[in-house]
Amino acid sequence: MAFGRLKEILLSDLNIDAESTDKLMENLYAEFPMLSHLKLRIAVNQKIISGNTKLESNDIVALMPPYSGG
Amino acid sequence: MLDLERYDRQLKLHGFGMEGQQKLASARVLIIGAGGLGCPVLQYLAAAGVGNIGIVDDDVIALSNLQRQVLYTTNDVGKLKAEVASSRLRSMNPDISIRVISEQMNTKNIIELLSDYELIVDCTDNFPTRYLIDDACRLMEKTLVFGAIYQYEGQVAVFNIPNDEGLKTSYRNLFPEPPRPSEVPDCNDAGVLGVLTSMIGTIQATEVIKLITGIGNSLSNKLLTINLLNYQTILLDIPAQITSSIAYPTSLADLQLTDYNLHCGMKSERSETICPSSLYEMANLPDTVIIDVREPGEYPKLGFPHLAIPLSNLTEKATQIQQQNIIVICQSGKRSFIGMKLLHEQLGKAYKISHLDGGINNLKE
Repeated sequence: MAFGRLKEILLSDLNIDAESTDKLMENLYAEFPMLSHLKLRIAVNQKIISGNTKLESNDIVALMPPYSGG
Repeated sequence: MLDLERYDRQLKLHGFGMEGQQKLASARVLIIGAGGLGCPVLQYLAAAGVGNIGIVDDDVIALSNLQRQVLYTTNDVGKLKAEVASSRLRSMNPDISIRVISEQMNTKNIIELLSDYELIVDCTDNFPTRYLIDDACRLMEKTLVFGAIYQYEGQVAVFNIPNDEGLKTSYRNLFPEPPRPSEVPDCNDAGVLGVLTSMIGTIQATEVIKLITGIGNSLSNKLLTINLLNYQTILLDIPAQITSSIAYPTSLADLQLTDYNLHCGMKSERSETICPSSLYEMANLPDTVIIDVREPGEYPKLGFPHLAIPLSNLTEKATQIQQQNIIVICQSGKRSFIGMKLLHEQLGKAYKISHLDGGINNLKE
């Protein structure tokens, strides 16, 4: 799942095979180079993670950018 | 004396009652920003009977605001938002006291303004002010109700309330480093659906009322994100650690010396940009050094005393700089701007760091 501008880049929710969040982001950065320019947080099953995290099948990864509007 | 008839429908609520109403009446809430988010926050808090409301906004009403800032009318265009908002709220609920602060929130006034209130609501529309408010609230241990929007999506979170284990989070736990300017378009550039600001602002007001009266579970340590186009909603746990690779204020003294525009990669309000005509004059001031951040082999060579530290080595060599006044220069003014930012982060605020606008290209012999 992606939010904000990230959604505009990824276009839709994706199903991806990856063993860890680092591997997942590596794949995404390769496929969507624009993504690498943006600040974002990664959440696995609704918990924002701070380091590389192992992924199991059916884990839900969300990519969250900051919003500034008010 | 509380007007019981006015508040009758919420007094009847289980868990709210007279006790909740009295808590609202004695509460002190500061709303920063009286725009898209601020309007619904102000309306609902005033209507609910929050006893002491402060409104911070130095902006005037524009016609393009009216699509979402529903406290204002066409006749109000050109008037100060905080003034107009307070007069509407006073007629809506004369029982409450409202303080108008038609100033921009900045490092000079924030500590004094925040210390008067127990709960702060961030309804601003830009990152420098958001990081300023967040740092101040974290350092002053003030509860902060955060809201922000992007096109059809909105975020709400509550910061600085310790959980059962004593852990608390702030916006820096969520996004430790500000994004670069232009990375996240604001409403002016990206557009916004009017109802979105009202929905997100209403959730912020809900959190304020819940926190004051002690009902329900707040969004403390959580980030709520809603997408209006498909009602996709996600509630994320915010990590307890701040994992930042850049320096950020860890004391109020630090905060007051921080330039938040610069911190967010924007041009500084302080005169840190030097025009070519004043370069020589500035260079002759005592305790001053010019640093050329171009790579070796770039021309023209400089015909005046300077220190050559290529931008690529600037971070590691920053501590070698002896002087307090530092002028960074490069060919076009681009790398010197980045160099100035790097030095600001590396050396802190005791140094006066500026850069040459337009670079050496702009220097005339």
